[in-house]
Amino acid sequence: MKGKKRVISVLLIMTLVIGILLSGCGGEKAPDESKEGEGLNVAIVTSPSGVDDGSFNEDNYNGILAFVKNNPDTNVKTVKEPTGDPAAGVEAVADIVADYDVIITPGFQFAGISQIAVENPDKMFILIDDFPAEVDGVQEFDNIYAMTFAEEESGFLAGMAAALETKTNKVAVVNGIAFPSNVNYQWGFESGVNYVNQKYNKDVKYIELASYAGTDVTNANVGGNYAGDFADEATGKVIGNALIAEGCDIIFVAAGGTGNGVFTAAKEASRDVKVIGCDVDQFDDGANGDENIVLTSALKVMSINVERALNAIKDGTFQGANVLLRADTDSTGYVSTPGRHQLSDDTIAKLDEAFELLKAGEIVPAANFNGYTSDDFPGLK
Amino acid sequence: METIIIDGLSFGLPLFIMAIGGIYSERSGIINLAIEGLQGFGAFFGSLSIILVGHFFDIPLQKLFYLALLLSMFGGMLFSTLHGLLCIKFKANQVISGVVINILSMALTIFLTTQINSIVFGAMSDKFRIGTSNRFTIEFLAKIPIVGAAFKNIYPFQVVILIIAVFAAYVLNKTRFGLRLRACGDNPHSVDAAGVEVSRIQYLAVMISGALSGLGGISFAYSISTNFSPAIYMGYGYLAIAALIFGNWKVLPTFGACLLFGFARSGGYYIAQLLKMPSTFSDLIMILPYVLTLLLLIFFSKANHPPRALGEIYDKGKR
Repeated sequence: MKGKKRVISVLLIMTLVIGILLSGCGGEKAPDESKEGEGLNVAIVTSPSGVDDGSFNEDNYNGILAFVKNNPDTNVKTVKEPTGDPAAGVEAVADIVADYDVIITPGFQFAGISQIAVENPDKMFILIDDFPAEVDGVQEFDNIYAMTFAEEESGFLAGMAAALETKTNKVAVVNGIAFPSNVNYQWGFESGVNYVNQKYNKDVKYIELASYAGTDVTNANVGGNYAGDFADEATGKVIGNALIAEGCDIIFVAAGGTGNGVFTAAKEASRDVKVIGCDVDQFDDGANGDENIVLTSALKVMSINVERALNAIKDGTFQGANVLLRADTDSTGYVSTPGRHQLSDDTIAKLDEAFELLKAGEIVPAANFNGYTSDDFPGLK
Repeated sequence: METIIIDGLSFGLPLFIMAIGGIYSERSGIINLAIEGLQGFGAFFGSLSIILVGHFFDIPLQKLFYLALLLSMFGGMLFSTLHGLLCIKFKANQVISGVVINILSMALTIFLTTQINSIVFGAMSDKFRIGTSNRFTIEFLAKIPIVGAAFKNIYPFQVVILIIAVFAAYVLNKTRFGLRLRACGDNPHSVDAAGVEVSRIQYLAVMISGALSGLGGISFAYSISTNFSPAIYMGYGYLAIAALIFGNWKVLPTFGACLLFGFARSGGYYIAQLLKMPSTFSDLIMILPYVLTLLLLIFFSKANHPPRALGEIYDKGKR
């Protein structure tokens, strides 16, 4: 115990010295430092919300932890890049690239690491949520495994769940910043609502506050409710309250740390308001006295895929690629584990039916850049 | 319109109690830039205590609301003794001590939160979930047009803050202790000559400041995220310092300044929603109230009089 404490404090001092804010490490670290060089040296560089955000970053981190469990000689370092700015993110990776074998970068803002990857061909990179930026006309790299997810599929299921369960016939989605992954969630959600309206004869509206309309990476106005930040809980609460005042009773929250504010708004609401969590199972965040405000959660199963990639590196079968993971590999979905959701059996049956259609490719919800809109996509009519 | 008042009050009052703490400390001659760190540590201590109590005695967290407030004050007070020790006993530079305590508090609480979560609860998380606070409405007063909104959806901590604030103002201005405290900030030698120990009063002032900051911190934790997480270090402590300087180190004007900040903030959100511009521009509108504050500060600061011995290390032998 004392030795562990010492390791922790040494780490703390080191981290302070290089001027990086500590987000909490040491707890899972292999205590035997002398074996360095045997196991993989893995670093994860994250957005300002850190690896314990209970959401996107944490799921990636859980993939690493799962790998560490089977390979205890692995060294893991967590780096929190405090600005969330793409240039600063790439800089943070460049600063540490020499010391690690594998660098995992969850987030759109790390697309620029391809330049570093070209300069360091012996290092492996796992990029989540985006494909690497082009370098000299090349878009695929031997040492970058880039995974993106069909968020619109998870969003679609969330939209269906919201539309099927709403009592006020008004639902909404709250996002962080209009990065493609967020727009995919938003448009997928809207597609899901429209799908239910069409197929089950309902009249559910999704509410968009004009003042929080998002502007995507091509500078187009994509509508929706964007807080403009992934770590601004206060603004999240304001948006949540505004949506509840508009009459929404189910809100899909895909906004990282900002989402905590929306959760608070829903918990304090005088009438019954439920939220749908995002990326990971957020049921624990919804506890509100004896009740729970989380209806279900839309999943993006990153942990399994991160672990798969790390195992491939260990086995030497690692192959750089840009992949889009969909329902057919169970990489998207929603939470239907008993006790972790509050959906009716009827809703689950309808969601599962749609999930099979997603797998088969018969439903293709609208996404930021797939050319479909939420009013017109394969499977709607 | 109602939301501006409701949100403005729930933001402005915690700010106010933190600012009163700052007034206590600064009127006794000790510069307190550590409010930001103290509110964070106080909120950390309160949150940690109630989730431990809730966990081991199986009590629903909602029932531990007042315990959380109390223990946050205690935690803030505990941490502020460090500032007192550095500034009074070891005669360190008060500005540096304050800044160091802010940084220390942030790093320490984040570190401890993740460690305690993984060791005690076996969960990887950087936040403590503290449950929601009830809100209540005073029916007959809420019916008054416009002003009635002030009595709608009140957090219990707002009432606690107001009571403590009135009491604190009374102590500061009407009691012998308050008189001595103010004298310490203006002319510590006269206090010494009267046979009262200056350092004792300064210690007390700094500790009161810590306790009130802790109360402010836990209030923010309840009203914004129902969590203790690193997101609590949003710079509200610095805003409280700005408010007390704006308020000329006096309680009532500081109250006005805090309300101004509170309403400016909720009003900013309201204007942003009204203008219906895309979210990328809303940040611009959100800074307008603070720009206005800056401008006001330019005109008002001429009349400001900080305590005369503020920041001076008290030296008995000095004439």
